[in-house]
Amino acid sequence: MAKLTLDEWIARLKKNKSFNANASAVVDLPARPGEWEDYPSWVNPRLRDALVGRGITRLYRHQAQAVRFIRGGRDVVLVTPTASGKTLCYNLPVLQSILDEPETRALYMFPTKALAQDQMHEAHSLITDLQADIKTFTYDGDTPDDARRAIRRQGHIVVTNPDMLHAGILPHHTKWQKLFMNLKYVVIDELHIYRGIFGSHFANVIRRLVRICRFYGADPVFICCSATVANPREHAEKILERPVALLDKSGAPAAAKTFVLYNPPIVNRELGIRQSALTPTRKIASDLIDNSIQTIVFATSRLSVEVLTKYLKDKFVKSKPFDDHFVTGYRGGYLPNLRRDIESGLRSREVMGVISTNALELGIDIGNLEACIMAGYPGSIASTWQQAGRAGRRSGHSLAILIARSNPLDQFIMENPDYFFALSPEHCRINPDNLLILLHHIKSAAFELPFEKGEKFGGENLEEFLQYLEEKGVLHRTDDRWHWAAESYPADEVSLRAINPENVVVVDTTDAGSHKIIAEVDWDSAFTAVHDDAIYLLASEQYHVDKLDLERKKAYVRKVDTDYYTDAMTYTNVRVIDSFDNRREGGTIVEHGEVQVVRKVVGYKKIKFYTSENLGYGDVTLPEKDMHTTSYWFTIPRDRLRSLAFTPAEIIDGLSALAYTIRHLSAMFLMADIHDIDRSLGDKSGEWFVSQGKTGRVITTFSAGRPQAASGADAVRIDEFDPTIFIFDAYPGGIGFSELLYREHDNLLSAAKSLIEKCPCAYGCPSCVGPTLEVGKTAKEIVPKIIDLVLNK
Amino acid sequence: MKSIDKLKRLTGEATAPPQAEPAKPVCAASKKQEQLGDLRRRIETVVARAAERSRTAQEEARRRGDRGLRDLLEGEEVENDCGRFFLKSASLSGASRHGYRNLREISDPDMTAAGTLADDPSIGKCRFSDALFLDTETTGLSGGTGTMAFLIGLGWFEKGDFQVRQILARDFGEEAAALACLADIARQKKFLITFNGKAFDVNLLAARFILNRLPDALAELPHLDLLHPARRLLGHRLDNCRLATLEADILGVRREGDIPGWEIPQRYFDWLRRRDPRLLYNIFEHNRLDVVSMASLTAHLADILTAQTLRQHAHPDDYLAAAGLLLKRTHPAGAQKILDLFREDACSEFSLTSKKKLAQLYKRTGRLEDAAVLWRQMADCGAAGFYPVSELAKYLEHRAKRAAEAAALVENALAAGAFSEKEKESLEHRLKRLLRKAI
Repeated sequence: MAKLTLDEWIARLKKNKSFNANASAVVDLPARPGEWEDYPSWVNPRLRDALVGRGITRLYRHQAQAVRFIRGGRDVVLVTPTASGKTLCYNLPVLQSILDEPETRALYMFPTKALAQDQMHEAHSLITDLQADIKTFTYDGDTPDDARRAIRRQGHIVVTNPDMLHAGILPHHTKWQKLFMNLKYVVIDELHIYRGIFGSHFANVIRRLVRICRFYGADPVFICCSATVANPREHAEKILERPVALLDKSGAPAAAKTFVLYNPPIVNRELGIRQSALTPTRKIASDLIDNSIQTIVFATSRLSVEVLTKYLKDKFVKSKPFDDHFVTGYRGGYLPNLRRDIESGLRSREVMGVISTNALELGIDIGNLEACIMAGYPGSIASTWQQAGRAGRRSGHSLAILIARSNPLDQFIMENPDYFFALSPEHCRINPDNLLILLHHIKSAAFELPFEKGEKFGGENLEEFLQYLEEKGVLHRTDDRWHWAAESYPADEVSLRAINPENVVVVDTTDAGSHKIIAEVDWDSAFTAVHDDAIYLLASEQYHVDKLDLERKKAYVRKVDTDYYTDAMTYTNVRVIDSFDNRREGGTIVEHGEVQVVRKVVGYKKIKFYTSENLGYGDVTLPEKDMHTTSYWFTIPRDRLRSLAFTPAEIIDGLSALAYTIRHLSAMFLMADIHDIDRSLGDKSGEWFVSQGKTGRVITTFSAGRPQAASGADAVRIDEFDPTIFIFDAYPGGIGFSELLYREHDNLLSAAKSLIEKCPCAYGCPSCVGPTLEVGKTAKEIVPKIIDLVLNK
Repeated sequence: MKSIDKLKRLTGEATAPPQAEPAKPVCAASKKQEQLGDLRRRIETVVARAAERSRTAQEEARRRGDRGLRDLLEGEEVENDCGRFFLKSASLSGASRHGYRNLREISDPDMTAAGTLADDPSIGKCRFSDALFLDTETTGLSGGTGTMAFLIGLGWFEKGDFQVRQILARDFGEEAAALACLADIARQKKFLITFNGKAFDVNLLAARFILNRLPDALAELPHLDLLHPARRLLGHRLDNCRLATLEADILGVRREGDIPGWEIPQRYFDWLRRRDPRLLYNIFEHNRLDVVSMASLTAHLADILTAQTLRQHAHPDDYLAAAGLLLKRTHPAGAQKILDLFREDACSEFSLTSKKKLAQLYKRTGRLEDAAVLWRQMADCGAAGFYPVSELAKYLEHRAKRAAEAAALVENALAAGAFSEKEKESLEHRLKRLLRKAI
C-alpha cells in the first residue's frame, strides 16, 4: 500500500464515519503570515552576520520589539507560541551587551536541568558562529566541583534552575561577586511553570536575588517568557514586584494545523465508562508511523508511556528487528545520554515515533515533527498548546489530536471545544506572602545578608518576623541589624517544589534478610496510601502494609498477591476562622477567608480489582491533622433547599456531588494539581460535616473536639444546618487560590452545570458528579437544580 | 490579627482560637469591650515598662560581660577605623614546651622544605618569622555567607619567641573592626600557614571581607595549608588527619579540658545572649593551642622532608612518603637525601610493604643497586611473591648481565613459590629466555 502524506491522511480521517462519530471537534487552524522588521542599527555586525548565517535575515516584529524594550532597560514578559523565536529575544540583547562590554553577566533560569542544557547548547552554538570569547555554562547539581570555580568567575552567561539559585548560589553569593556586580540580565523562561506553591517559593527566591543584586549595586533587567495564560502580565508583576511590559503579539508565521478533539466511545453507559484513551492512541499512532509520518505521543504518566512504548515497539520492531530506535519512549528517568540520542534521532528522522511524558513539552529542540497525539488532557490548556506545538514547529501542515480520558477535566474540554479554542481562561496564582513560605525565605535571606531596620521583604511586616526569629534564637539583633545566629543552613530546610519536605520511606520486608527501600511517599499521602493494612501498589505489584511507623517515617510492607486494593476513608471538617470578603447572591452567601481544616483517616474500604465490589472495611488509627489555610465557600440556606422536591438524603448527596465537580473545575481554572485543592461539605461553624461512612453518607457532629457520628441513618437531617461547600487550598497558609475562585464563583457554577448537563452518562459518573456509588443515583438530576437555586435562576 | 500570630498558629505554636462564641446581647458586649480596652491599656503600660527595664538590663549585662572578659582573659578593647573589638595578646617564650619540643626548637625550619610542602617556591624565599599562622573559630561549619568567624587566632615568631594575637568580635557589629585588625597584621607578613584554611578559614574570611565591604587582605598571600602535606606524610599511620589527632600521635601534645569543636558555635550564641565571659575562656585556649600546634606541625613536616626529625618521633614510612612527595615535586636531591637514611639502616624492621615502596623509589631515582639489595632481601624471605623475583631477575639479566644467576633465582622461586597462573606463565617465559642466554 502506498504511503499517505499527512494531508492525504487527514483527508481520509475526515471521511471516516466511526472517527467522526467520536470527534467532538475538528478544527483547521489556518496558516498565518509572518511580520518582519530589519535588525536595529545598533546590532553588532558580527552578531548580525552570525544570525544571518543561520538563516535569520530579519527579525519577527515581536522580536524586534522585545529587543528594543530590553535594550531600553524595560522588564518584559513575552507570550508567544512555540517556535516563534523567543530565545533570540533574549540572546540577541544579551550577546550584544557582552560584545559592547565584556564584563557583562547574564543569568538564565529554566525550570528543569534538561531545558537548561538545551538552551546552553543553543547559546553556545550561536557564540561559536560569532567567534567571540563569550563563555556560557550550566550550573546545577551535576556541575563538577572543579568546574564551579571557573564558572563563577568567568561565565558570561550562567544557565541554572531556581532550586540551584535558592540553595547553591544565593547562600554563597560572595563567591559570585563578579557575576552579581556585573549582572545586567536575568532571563526567566517558562514563567507559567512558577505557579501555586512552586511559584510562591520562586517569587521569594526572586526577592532574595534582587536583594543580593542591590548589595552589589546591580539592577538587572528581567526578561520573562511564558506560555499563553489568562494573566501573564499580572503574574510576572507579582513575581518580580515591579511593572513589566507585555509582548503577546507574535510576528512569526504559523503553519496550518488540524486540531482534533477525540472522545473515545462509551463502553458502559450506566457507569459512564469510556474506552481507555490508550486504545485509540495506539491505533492512530501506529497508522501515522506506518505512513512515515513522524509522530510524538504525549502520555500523562510514566506508566502510560511505558505501556504505549511496549505496544508500539511490539508492532514496529518486529518488522525492523535491528532498529531499536524506530519508536522509543522518552521520560525523566532516562539517562541524559540516551535522551540526547533520542533528541538527535528525532531531528534526523531516524526516530519516527516517540512516546513521552511532558518532559518533551518544554522547549527542547527536537526538530519539526508532523503529528502530535495527546493521550489524555495534559491538565491545562497552556500545556496542551505547548504539546501540540511540538508538531509543525517550522513549516508545513501539522496535526494534533487530543484524546480524552474519563475524568471531569478531559470531558469538560470535549464538551466545550469553544472554551478550549477561545482565549485561555487559565490563571497563574501565587501567594508569595504565604506566612510559612515567607518565613522560610526570610531566614534564607538573613543568612545571605543581615537585615537592616526599615528594610522591606514581602508584603508582611518584616520587623515582626525578625523579632519572632530573634525570640527563636535564630537571629541576633545588634544596632538595628539582624544577623543569622544559628549553625544551620536554612536553604536546605525547604524544597521549592515539595509541599512538605518530609517523606515516608516504604521498606519492603518480603525478604527478611535484606530489607529494601522501594519507594518514598510524601508525608500527607502517607496517611492514606500506607496506613496499617493498606495495599500499596507499585509497578503493578501489591504490597501489604504491616506497619506505618510515623516516628521513624517508615512504612514496612510485604509483597502479597490479593484480588483487592484499599481506599482510605477520611473525614474532613472545616471551620471558618476569618472571613475576608463576602457577598450575597440570590439566596446564597459567597465568601472567602481563613479556615481551620481537621482531617483524619478513619478507616478503609477493600475494593475488588476489575469489578470494584466492596469487600469490607477496616479501621485505621492515625492522628488527625490540623491545618490553617484559605478557602472559598458558599452557604445555601436550608429553607431554599427544602423547596426542592427531593429527600434530605438526596439533597446531601447532590451537594456532595456539586462539591466534587467544583473542585475539579477549580483545579482547571487554576492550572493546579487536583491534590492542591480539596473540598468539604459542612456548616460554617464547623459543628456539622458530611463524610462518607461505611454504609453511606453520614452527617457527623463535631463536639468537644472529636467527631461523633450522629446516631443512625435517620440522623441525616438537612434541617439541622445551612449547608456550606468549602473549596480550600491544601497547603498550610494557602496559596492564593481562594480569592480568585471567589471572584469566579458564577463562572465555576455555570461551567459545572454545563459539564453535568452535557455529560452523556445516565446517572452520573466520575466525569461529571462523581461515581454513582458515592453520590447516589439522583445526583446528576439534582445538582443542576441546586446550581439554579444558587445562581437564583 | 497580627500575621505573626497567624504564623504561630500555622506552625502549631499557638493553639487555634476558641470556638466562636454564640452571639451575646449587644449591650453586654459593648460593656465587655470597654473593660477589655481598659485592661489592654494597663497591660501595654506594664509591658512598656518591662521592655525599658530589660533594655537597661541588657546594657548593664553587656558592660559587665566586657569587664569580665578583660579580667578573665587578660585582653583589652581596641579601637580602629572600623570600630571596636577585643584583642588578647600573648608572647610565648622560646623556652616554653609544646609537646616533645620547646618553641625555640621549632622556630627555624628549613624554608625550602616549607616551600615544597606548600608547592609554592615563593615561600622558600621567606623567613619563618614572615609566616602568619591563622585559625578561626566560627558560628558554624556549613559554609555560606551566614557563617561568621568570631574569633581569629594569629601567631608568628619574633626573635625566638612566639607571638599570639586573638581577635574577638564580641558581637556581629564588631566584625568589621576585627577584620580590619586582621588586615593590619597580615600586611606585615609574607605568607599564611593554616590547617585546612584553603577550604575553610580563608574561604570564609574572604566572604566576610566582601560582606563588610573591605578589601580581602589574605587573597594575595602565598598559603601553606598543612592539611594536605600532613595527610600525605603522616596519613598512612593515623586514624584521621584532624589537628587534634596529629597533636596527640605525632607532636606529643596533650590537651586537658579542651572544648570539642562542635560545641563552639553554640557557646558563642550563648555568649551573645548571656555575656558570661567564662563561656569564651575555653574557646580562646583551644584556639591558641591550635595556632601553636600549627607552628609545631610545620617544623615537624619540614624536618621529615629534610630528614632531620628525631628518630623516635618519626616512622620509616613517613620518610618514604616524604621521598615520594619530593619526587612528585621533582626534587630528586631531597629524595636522595632521605633515601640515604635507609642505606645506613639495617632496614630489617621494615615491613614488606615498606620495602616494596622503598625499592620502587630507588628504582625511580635510578638507584638500581640499592633497590636490588631490597629485592634480594624480599625474595629471600620467600613470602614476598612475584614482585621481588621478577624485578630482581630483570635487574640481574639486563643490568648486572648475570643471566645464569637470574635463571637460578627464577627456577628456585618457581619450585618454591605459589604464583597465580599468569605470574607463573610470565616467570616460565622469562626462565626459558634466561636459560637460552645463560647457555
